[in-house]
Amino acid sequence: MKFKEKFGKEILFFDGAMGTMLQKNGLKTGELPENMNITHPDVLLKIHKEYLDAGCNVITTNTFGANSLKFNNVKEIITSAVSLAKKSAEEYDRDTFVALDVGPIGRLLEPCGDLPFEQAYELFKEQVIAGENAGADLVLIETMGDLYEIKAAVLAAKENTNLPVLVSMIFDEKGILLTGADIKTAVVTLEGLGVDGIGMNCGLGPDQMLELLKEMKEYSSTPIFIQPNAGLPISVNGKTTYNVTPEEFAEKQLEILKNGACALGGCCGTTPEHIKAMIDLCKNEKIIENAKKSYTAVSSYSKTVIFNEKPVIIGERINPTGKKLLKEALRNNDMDYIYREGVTQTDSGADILDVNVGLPEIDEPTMMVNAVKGLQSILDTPLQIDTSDTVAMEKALRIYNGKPMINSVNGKEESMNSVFPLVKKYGGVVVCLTLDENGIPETVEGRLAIAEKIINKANDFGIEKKDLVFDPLCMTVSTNKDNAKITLECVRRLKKDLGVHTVLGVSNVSFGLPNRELLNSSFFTLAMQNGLSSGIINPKSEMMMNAYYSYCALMGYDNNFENYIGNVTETKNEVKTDNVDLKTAVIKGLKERAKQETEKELQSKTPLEIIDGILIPALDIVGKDFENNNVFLPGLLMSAETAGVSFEIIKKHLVKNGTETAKKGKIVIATVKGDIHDIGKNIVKVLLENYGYDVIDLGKDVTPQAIVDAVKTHNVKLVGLSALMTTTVPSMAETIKLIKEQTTDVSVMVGGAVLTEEYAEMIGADYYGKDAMSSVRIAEKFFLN
Amino acid sequence: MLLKYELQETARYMGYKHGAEPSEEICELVDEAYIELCKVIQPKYIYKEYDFTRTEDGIMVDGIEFKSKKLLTHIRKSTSIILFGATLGQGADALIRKYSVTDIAMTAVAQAVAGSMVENLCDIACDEMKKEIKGEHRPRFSPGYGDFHISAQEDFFRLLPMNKQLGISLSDGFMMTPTKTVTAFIGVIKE
Repeated sequence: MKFKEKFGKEILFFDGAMGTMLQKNGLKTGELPENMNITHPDVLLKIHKEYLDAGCNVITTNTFGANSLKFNNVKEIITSAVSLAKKSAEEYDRDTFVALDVGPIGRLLEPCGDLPFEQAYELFKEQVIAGENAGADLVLIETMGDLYEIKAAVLAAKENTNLPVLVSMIFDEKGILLTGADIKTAVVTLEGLGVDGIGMNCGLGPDQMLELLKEMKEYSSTPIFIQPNAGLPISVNGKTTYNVTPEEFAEKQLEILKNGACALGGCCGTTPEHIKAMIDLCKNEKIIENAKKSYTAVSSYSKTVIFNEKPVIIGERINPTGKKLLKEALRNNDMDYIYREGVTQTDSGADILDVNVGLPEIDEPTMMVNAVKGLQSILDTPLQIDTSDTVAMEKALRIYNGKPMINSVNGKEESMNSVFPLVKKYGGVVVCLTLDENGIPETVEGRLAIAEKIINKANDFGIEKKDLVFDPLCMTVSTNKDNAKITLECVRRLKKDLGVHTVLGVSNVSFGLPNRELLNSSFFTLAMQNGLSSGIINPKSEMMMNAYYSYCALMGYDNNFENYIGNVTETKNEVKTDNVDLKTAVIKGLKERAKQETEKELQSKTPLEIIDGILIPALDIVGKDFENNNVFLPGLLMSAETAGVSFEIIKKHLVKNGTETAKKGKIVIATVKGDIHDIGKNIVKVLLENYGYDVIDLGKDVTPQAIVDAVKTHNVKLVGLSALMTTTVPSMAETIKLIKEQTTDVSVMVGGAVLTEEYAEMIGADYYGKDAMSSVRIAEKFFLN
Repeated sequence: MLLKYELQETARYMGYKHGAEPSEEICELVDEAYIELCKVIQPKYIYKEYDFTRTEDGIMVDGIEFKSKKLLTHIRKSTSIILFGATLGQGADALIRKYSVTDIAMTAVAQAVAGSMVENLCDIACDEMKKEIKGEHRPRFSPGYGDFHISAQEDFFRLLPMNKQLGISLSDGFMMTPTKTVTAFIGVIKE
């Protein structure tokens, strides 16, 4: 019988600890356990036999860390590990299965660490292919603490093997993964990826896991398996021990079974005795199958948004349609602008962020991937991937960390056939537009009929109704007075008749009419009253958010009116001083004031007069104070931020008028290969930009060649390199050497905590910056010549 | 676990020299960063006591040698040694990354406050360890200090499950991520 036919339908028993058993059989601290598959096959046969004698159905291979970052003979190790397990299992005439054990890589993925997602995927791919070829029955991805790493492993297993995939995670006592996800988020993301089983192992004993299981069961429709440690670890004379006895372990596992787990096993500290006691006590129990859940949810790497009665706000601002500044940012690859739009919308109350970066003149798939990666590295707000380019859609879905919202599919056969396979494979909640080959039906019935067609087609692809959110399309009332009414009725009927959630791009309704926000916010309230589940709106619009907070307050979705009071009556608390001009505002770091004063100055002065006559002199005063130790780094940066606010307003003004200010000079900056600290470099970037330089920021951990390539591509004559640690200074030296070899008259300035002027000279740098301000001074001197 | 920060230490990390004190405005930023950090950190620590022997250049722990004469003098008279690791988790790094695109002043401030908080975490952890492991505890000594090369982190990670239990990973240059993380040796002198 196949594993899939049994798992979740009858109680299965996994084995216990491998590491504990290997240590008992001679493995020393610090030795790599996976080598024992080759050096001590007899030990592995013995351990597997003991667990099989205890009554296990599933035994796990000794391949936890068998990846090519640690071993250069992965295939050999895995082949021998699987063969040993199979050989052991063949001795028994009951159904037994060999699980290919896949543990974490041991290196954190980007953006937290330095391992790229695709490299993680390749490492796992090698493992699972070797495992399947050697005859494993399933892939057991376990002790995972990072959803992103899990995604890489699951994709590797599903794309390269036909084996069932089980995923087991290590939670802390509060039910949180190391990367910050709670149980709900983990379940939502894993079910999106379509794993066959969700579990917990390691870290905790059965007592703690029982509590977490109850929560997991609330969200999971997928079979759950539980492999606790034999209690929490205790250190005795430097040795880690676990003190839950086999009998106690068995009792607790029985309770876990009765609370809805369908398979049991053990992790650290459990032995064949624990497993035998557990099986003896539990084997005649009846399985409790997991009930199907029907909630609609999307997630980020750590947060979940569930669609229910209270409407969900989807921020619409990251979409270039009709936005000059965003268009310009996209053309100039100014990612920070996009990230700031994300942060301000989240701060304004967005639950989900729509991300649309489509412009005819840019490479949309690449831009989409960069935007999604960047946004998810600084925000835990789930994203809505919004594109009509299925290549961009797939690339974004692949690297998205969580279960995203996808915008969109419609009732056209072509659309459904290209989008649904992606939704099925990567997971997601997809926005379904009620239009098809014949356009948008004018009647409610017509749009509902398309919705039904979409539901049925999705079902053919194995996509459940809960993962579809319907957009009945909002047409402007200026072309037909009944348009709003039809849309509202559709929203009501979609919910009532078809039992699905809804979404609307609200602002279309007012197209062509004056004072649009008023109509939009009124329509938004009406739509919510008709059951709208989510609105794609501008969360930075006070009127829209006031409508939302008022609606939630009136309908009882706002506990103690917290959001209503907190947001509708918000006032800025910056000191109001009347005699503060722009220059003083910058020196003192008063952002709000600087905003107002910039607007005022723009009425009588040209942008250049403001920049050269006010902003730069103000920055210079603060800069000098910094150099004289009268102002320190935070003060310098507050002024820089404030000047930045002013520059932003000036830029808006310029874009509106279709002009530009000339940049003073181009500079490439980067943190060198091997160094992951980029705060110093980021500070330098902001200061240089303030002074009008065009800064090309290559990021951190950048190879010498990538820096040289950027210098050549952008024809740059000044490069700034940062390194924080003594260990990465050689990498800086190497970079300088390569720059000097491959380019002519390019100068290099260097900075970083451990550098000194002598050292800078020794490694061939042209300039040494002792602090952030000196990079500005160097640039001034350099471009003067 | 509620962590605190010390203003003086934070100011030092922010580059304040000669005992200069941050202004009221900067103190407000410090408080704001502290509150935001408290929302996102997942402070955790682990430790393990080992027997060790002295070698010519350092110490030998469970068959692994750590070379540093400074470490030797630092743990003088110690009869056993604790390997210790503590982290604020990935939330602090994510917050600092966010500030680096929204507010560079807050980046510098949050970085410093987080530095002070991780020190506080180490102090709390060390107090706890003193309750469990009797004897005089010498001050913490970390790979990267003095002559103790940072590459010792790799062996340190073999003896203490930094990755599995704290989620810490080492880069090729032996740097730890999440960055608000500390590893240290602590000598114990038993009576």
